[in-house]
Amino acid sequence: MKSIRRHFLSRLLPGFFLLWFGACLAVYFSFKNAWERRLESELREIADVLPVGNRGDADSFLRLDDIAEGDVGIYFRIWGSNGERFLKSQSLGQFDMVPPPLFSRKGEFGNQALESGDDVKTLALRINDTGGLGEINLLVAKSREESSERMTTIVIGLLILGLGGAGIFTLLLTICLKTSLMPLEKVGDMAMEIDAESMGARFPHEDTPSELEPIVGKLNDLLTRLEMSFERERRFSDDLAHEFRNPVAALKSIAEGALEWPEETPEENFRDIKSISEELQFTIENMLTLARIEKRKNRITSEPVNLQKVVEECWQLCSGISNLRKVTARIEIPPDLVIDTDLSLLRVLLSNLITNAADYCPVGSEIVIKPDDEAFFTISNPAPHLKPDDLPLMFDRLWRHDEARTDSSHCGLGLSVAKTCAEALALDLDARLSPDGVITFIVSEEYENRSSSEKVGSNTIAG
Amino acid sequence: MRVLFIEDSKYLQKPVTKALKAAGYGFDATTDGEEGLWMAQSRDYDVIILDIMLPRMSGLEILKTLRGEGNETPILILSSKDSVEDRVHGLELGADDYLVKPFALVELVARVDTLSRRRYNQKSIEITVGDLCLNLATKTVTRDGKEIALQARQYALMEYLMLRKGQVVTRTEIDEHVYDQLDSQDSNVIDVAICSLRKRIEVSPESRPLIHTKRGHGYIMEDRGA
Repeated sequence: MKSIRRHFLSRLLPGFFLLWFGACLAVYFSFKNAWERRLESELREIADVLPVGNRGDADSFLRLDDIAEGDVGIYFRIWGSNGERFLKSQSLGQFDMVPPPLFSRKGEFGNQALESGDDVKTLALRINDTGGLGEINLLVAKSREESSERMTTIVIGLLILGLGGAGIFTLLLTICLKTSLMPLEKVGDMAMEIDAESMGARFPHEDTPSELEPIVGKLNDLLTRLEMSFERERRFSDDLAHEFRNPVAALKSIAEGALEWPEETPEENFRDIKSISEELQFTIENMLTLARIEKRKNRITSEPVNLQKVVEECWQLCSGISNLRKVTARIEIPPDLVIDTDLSLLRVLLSNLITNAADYCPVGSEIVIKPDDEAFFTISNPAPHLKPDDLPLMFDRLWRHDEARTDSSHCGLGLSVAKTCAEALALDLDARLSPDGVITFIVSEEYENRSSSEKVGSNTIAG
Repeated sequence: MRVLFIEDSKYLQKPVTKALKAAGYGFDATTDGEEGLWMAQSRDYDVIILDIMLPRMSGLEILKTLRGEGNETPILILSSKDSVEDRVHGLELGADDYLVKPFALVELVARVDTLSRRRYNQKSIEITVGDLCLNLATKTVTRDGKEIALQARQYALMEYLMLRKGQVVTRTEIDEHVYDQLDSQDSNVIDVAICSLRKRIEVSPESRPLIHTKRGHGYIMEDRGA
């Protein structure tokens, strides 16, 4: 499982440990250097005690022994200019020191391991004016034992400090991460509690860290969309239930009445049963049409279609209702406008849009069907009963402006069928409502295809 | 007993009307929400059967308005909406019962019977006045063990008087609860019906009169003894 906390810890902790280790090393070496400088300084102090000038003789060097005796771990050895051995400190005992390759007047520092096992720092000096002894080479040494002990203490201290610091840092980092990630956990807990019954819930913006604001915003947007989908689903279920349960209830009640009072079953009951069956058939056929169009999406044929001719045909199909409602049509499609498209689907699309217009526009209205600069064609008619809020819903299956769905000669599938046809033909079907209450259905190229100037899916225009 | 049926399906109205009339109910119906509300406000119905999806005013709005006005008429919601949410919502708004379409006519009548009984605090299915007994379930009337055959409207009148036994029932109340809009509004109709009913329940010369006239007020059904 991926964990942000683990991710942070796995990256921050090694980084911190490296830094900590580096700091400890720096401290260690700085102490070590300081001790080296101190040793060097001490060696020079010892060398300064040496006899210089005319006072220099062998006896004078014996004073070094006094120093060496008083301070354990101090050694010296004197060689003549020819390499002959003159003196050595008593602290060396039976052992001796090896002459370094270089002696100089300013002094050369070096290291040497004595045969006694003592590890020492040395200072090699050449002294010219010693008087009686002439030029001599002096090697002064001081044991590192004390500095080694101190450095060991420092290393142990640094180790304890390092481990303790690392532990404390790990703990602090863990707590800090836990606290910082708490709002994320809170959002997660809230998300867990949201179900179909609480789609109206939203994540609060107050107290939300700025880093989480975009996530919370997106989640709230998602919830809004989900709520709308659930609402749509619920409305569809209600509408579907109404479309089927009502006629079934009527059929059942008529049948029960006929069984209970067989002698009183008038002919009217049979007429009702016939009407109910026809309405049910209409609804079922529309739903099957939708299913068939959706299935056909991958089997769209293309042929040159004269748009004006098809529009005229579809208008003639709804002559019954248009005559009854005194609705007229102004068809402004140019006679030479030819579209390469699937004729049968275009016919279904057009007939549904035109029938919808003829059915719902006010009595005596005019329907205008014409081409448009930005669309293949548009169909407009007055719709004073529609509100802008209806537009996003009107292509939903079974949606009807009349929420009571009293008029059983409609089922609310016409526009859904038209929309599905448009999608199958790679077209966009959109609706706009003007401020003066005129609805316009716009059939245009699918948005994705609009950049293509010549070819529009399977629909091309000529003429 | 008088029922108001507010339902926009013209196909459903006919069989329901027939079934309820056969069960002895006076019956008014409308397909419009606003008209339904007006009717419910205008008359004292024993039961209202209410659809939810209605033109001009939804059934839930009607229910809310009536309960808001203090109208306590039992209301049965008859709807195609079958989700638990919808049922709970309807009952929470003050409906007394909820029946989902499609339904059995006998079930609808039985539920209307129960609601109308509840309105008169009648828990038992039998009402007795002296030796006269009315069975609300079988819709039969017996006196001294002998069954009395009554027409639907006579039974409705008898049931209403017996549910209100011991109380003065005015002609207006009888008109409102027993007769529907299509029946004659002639005041003589009720007197004739009462007279006819008195004769029907007089099964022997020893049968005591049970329906008494309270002059200037109406009728009272009670056994005043020998």
